[in-house]
Amino acid sequence: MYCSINAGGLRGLESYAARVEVDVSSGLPCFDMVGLLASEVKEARERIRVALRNAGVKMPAEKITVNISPAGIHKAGTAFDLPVALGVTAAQGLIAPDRLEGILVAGELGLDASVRPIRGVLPMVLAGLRAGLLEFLLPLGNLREGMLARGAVVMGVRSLEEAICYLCCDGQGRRAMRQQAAERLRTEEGALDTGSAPAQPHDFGAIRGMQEAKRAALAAAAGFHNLFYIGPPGAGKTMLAKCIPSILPPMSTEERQEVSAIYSVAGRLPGGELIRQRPFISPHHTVTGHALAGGGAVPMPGMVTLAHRGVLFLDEMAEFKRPTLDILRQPMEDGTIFLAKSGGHFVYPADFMLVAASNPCPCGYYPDRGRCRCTSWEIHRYLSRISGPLLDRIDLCCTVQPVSFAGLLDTAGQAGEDDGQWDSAAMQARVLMARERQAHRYAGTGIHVNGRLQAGDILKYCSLGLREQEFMQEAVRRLGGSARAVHRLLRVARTFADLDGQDRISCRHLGQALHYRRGEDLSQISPQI
Amino acid sequence: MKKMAPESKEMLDSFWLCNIRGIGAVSVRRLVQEAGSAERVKELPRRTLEGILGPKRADILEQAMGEKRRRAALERYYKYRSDGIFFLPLWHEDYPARLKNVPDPPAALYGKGKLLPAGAKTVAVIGARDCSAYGSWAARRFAAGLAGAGVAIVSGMARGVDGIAGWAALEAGGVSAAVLGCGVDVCYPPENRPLYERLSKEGCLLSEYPPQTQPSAGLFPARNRIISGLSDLVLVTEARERSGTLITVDMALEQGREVFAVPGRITDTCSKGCNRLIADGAGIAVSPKQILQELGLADAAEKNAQDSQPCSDASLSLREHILRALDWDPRGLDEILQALRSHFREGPLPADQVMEELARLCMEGKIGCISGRYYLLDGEF
Repeated sequence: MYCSINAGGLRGLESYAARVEVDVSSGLPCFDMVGLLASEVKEARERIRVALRNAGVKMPAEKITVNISPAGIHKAGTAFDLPVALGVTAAQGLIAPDRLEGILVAGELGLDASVRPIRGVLPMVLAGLRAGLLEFLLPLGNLREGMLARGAVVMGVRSLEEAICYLCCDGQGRRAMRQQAAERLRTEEGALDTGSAPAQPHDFGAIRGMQEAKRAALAAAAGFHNLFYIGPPGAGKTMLAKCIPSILPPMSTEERQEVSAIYSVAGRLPGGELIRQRPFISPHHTVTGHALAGGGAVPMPGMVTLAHRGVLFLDEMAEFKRPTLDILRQPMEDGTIFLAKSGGHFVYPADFMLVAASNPCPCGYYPDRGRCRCTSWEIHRYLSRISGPLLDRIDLCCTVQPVSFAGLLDTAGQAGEDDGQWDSAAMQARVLMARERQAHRYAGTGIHVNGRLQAGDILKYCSLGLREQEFMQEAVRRLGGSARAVHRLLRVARTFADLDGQDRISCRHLGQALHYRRGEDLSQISPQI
Repeated sequence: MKKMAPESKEMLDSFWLCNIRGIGAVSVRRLVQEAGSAERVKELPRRTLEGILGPKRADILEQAMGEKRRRAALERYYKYRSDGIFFLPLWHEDYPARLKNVPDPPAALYGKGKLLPAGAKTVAVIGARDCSAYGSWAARRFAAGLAGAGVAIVSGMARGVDGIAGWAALEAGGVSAAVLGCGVDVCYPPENRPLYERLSKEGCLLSEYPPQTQPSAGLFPARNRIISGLSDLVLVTEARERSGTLITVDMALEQGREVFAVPGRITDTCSKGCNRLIADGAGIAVSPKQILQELGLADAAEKNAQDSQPCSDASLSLREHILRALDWDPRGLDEILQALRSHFREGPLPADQVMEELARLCMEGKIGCISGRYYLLDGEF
C-alpha cells in the first residue's frame, strides 16, 4: 500500500517542501530509503525500525520503499525521522490516508520512540504556511518555536505513540490534544522560569565617566555606524561594547522573526523563544574565515549572519588574521554575505553594526611614552594590519582612556554636570528620537539609517550651508582627507544633527564628527608630531 | 686654504684621492699635508708614500693612479654634480671651520642643498627616537625658537626628536642641516621623506659617506661626531638612561662643545638620560632665550622674546579656557571637560561646543591631535 506525507527540508537558511512517500508491498522483506540522502538520513532506518517496535507498531515483513521527493535535492538533518516512521505506519493501514493531508510533520526519533527537537523549525513552518499547509506536527521541544509563526496550527508531541494517536484523531480530538500539549508546555515553562531569570543586559549607567566613549556609542547606535574603540588594556573597551545592544532600538516583530529563524537554523534557539535582544556576537580573534562567514557544503550561518540586526564585536581587532578580517568587507557593503560552496550559492543576511576594539600598539600604552617602548615602526605596523578598505567602512573612531581611581569613586560627579543622563535607558530614548527623524527623512527610499548612506545619497541628505562648507573645506585642507573620509564625516555629522533634533547640519555637528574621525596617525607617521 | 672652482684640477684630484678603497681619512690628510695639495700627491716619491702608508697601501695608491681608475673617478664626480650633490674635501675653504678642528674630521663631506652660512651660530638638537609628547614639544620649541633667531639647527634626521627639530626649524623659517648615516641620496628613515625633500631644497643634507651608501648600524655612531663637530652647542631634549644620544654627547665633550639638556621629572623614564647629564654637569636648558644668551646672541634673544600677559579668569572665552586646559601632554576629551568644569560652574557644560572649538583650533594649527588626544603646539608655560 502506498501513502505520502508532507515534510520539510532545510537548505541553508531556507526551507523547502518535501514529501515522504512510503510503499509497502510484497517481496523480499527489506527497508530501502532513496532520494539523495545524507548519511544521517540513511541511518534513520535503524532508528525508525527500533522506535516503531518500541512504540508497539509491528514492522511488516514485506518490502518497504521510502522515497523523499524532490529526489534531486540533497537531504540532510534528522527532521525526516518522524514523517518516515509515520509513513510506514500509515502504509500498513494503521492511519487513514486522508488524515495525513494538509499537515506537515517533522522530528527526530530516539530508539525509545521519543520525539526529539530539531533545528530550523521556524523557517520550516513559515515555508509550510507559504505552501498552503496550516497544521504542523512537531517535537514538543520545538512547539513554542513553531507557535511563533502567525496562523500556524501547531501540535507538539513527545513520543511516536502520541504522534500516531494525534493523526488518528479527528478535528475535535486533535484540538483537545493540542490544548493538552500547550498546557504541558506552560507548566514546564513555569518550572523553568523559577530556575533562571533572563540575563540582564549590560547598562551604560554602570560605567563611570567616559563621556567621550559613551557619546561615540550613542552616535553609533543612532546612525547604525560602525565604531572603533582604541585604548590601553583595562580601559573598558569591552565593557562599553557590551552595553551597545542595550541602547539600540528594540527589535520590531519582523526583525525578531527574521533573526529567530537564523538562530533556529543554527540550533541556537534552545528555549524556542523568539530572540528579543539584539544579537551581540563576539568571536575570538583566532576565529577562522569559515566560522566567520559560514562554512560547510551547505553552509551553517557564520558569525556575520548570527550578528544580523545586532552587533558584531571584534575585540583586539589588530590580532585577527588579515584575510579573516577582509571577509567582512562584502557584508559591510551589502548587508548580506554571498557564499559560493560546493552545495550551491547562498546569500545570507549579514546587516550588522561592527564594533571593534584594539590597543594602539603592541604593548598597549602608546602615546604614553613613559610606559610604551614600542618603536614608531611597530606602532605603525600594529594598526596597519587592519586593511584600509575595512577601516574606511568604520565611521566613528574613539580613544578610550582609563578612568582614574578618583573618578571611579566619584558618585556625585555623575549627574547634573553634563547634558543629559548617560544610562542605557536615557541613551536609548535619544537613539529612538534620532531614528525617528531618520525614518521620516528616508521614508520610501530603502535607506533606514545614516550609517548606510551611499556616496550618492550623501550629497542629497547631508547638504551644508555656506558657513559649514567653509568650515569643512578648511578642515579637509588642514587635516587632509580623501573623498571617502569626507563622506564619513558627513554621515556622522548627519547623525549628530539628528541627535540634536536639527534638520540642518551645523559646524557644531561637523566639529563632533571631526573629533571622532579616524586619526591620521593611525595610518601614517608625520614628522610634525 | 684656497678657493677651488668645482671643476678645477685640484677638486677632481681631491675626489679621486678621497675615493680610493683602502686609504682612510687619516692617511688622506697626511698625504695632502705632505704633498701640499691633492694634485701633488701623485708626485710624491715612493719612499715618502711608504713612509706614510706602508708598502702594501702604497701599492694600492700607485695602482689607483692608473689612467682608467682616474677616469672612472672623474665620471663619478660629474655624475654626482649633475645629481645636485656637492663634494667638500677637508682642505676646501667651504668646509665647515668648526668641523676642521675636531680630533678626527672626515676627509671629505658630500652634501645636498645649501651650505650652512659660515658665520652663523649652530646648535645641535638631538634626542630619543621614541620620544614622549614632552620631548617632541621641547624639540619643537627649542628648534623653532633658536632657528627663528638665526641659529642654524643641526640634527640627524632620525625618527623622533631629530626629525621634529629639523622640521620645526624649517617651519620657523630658519636654517637646518641634517647629517646622515648613509649617502645623501638615500632617505633614511623612509617615513621622514617629506623632511628629506624639504631639507634638500631649503636646508642642507650632509654625509661623510659617498652617495648610495645604504644605512647600517655601524655608520651612525661615527656620524654623531659630525653632528656635534658642526655645532657650537649640543642640546639634548630627551634621552633615556641608555640612549644612543649619549654617544653624541660624549663626542661633543671630547670636541669641547657645550652640552645642555632639557630637564624632565625625575620619575619620567624618557628623561632619565637628560637628568643624568645635568647631574654630571651639563647645562640646564630652560628656554630658547637662555640658549641664545649662552651663545652670545643676547640681542636676538631680546628681539625674539614675547611675553604673554596672563589675564583674569572671568573674561576668558571658551576657546581661551580650552587653551589653558591644554599643555604639551596630550589630553583626552574627558580630561579636558573635567578641567573646564571647574571654570564653568553654572549651567551644563556644552561638550559638543568644546569639540567644535577643538576642531577649529586644530585647523588653525594652535593645537595638535594624536590618537584622539589634544595638546598645545606652541606656547610658553
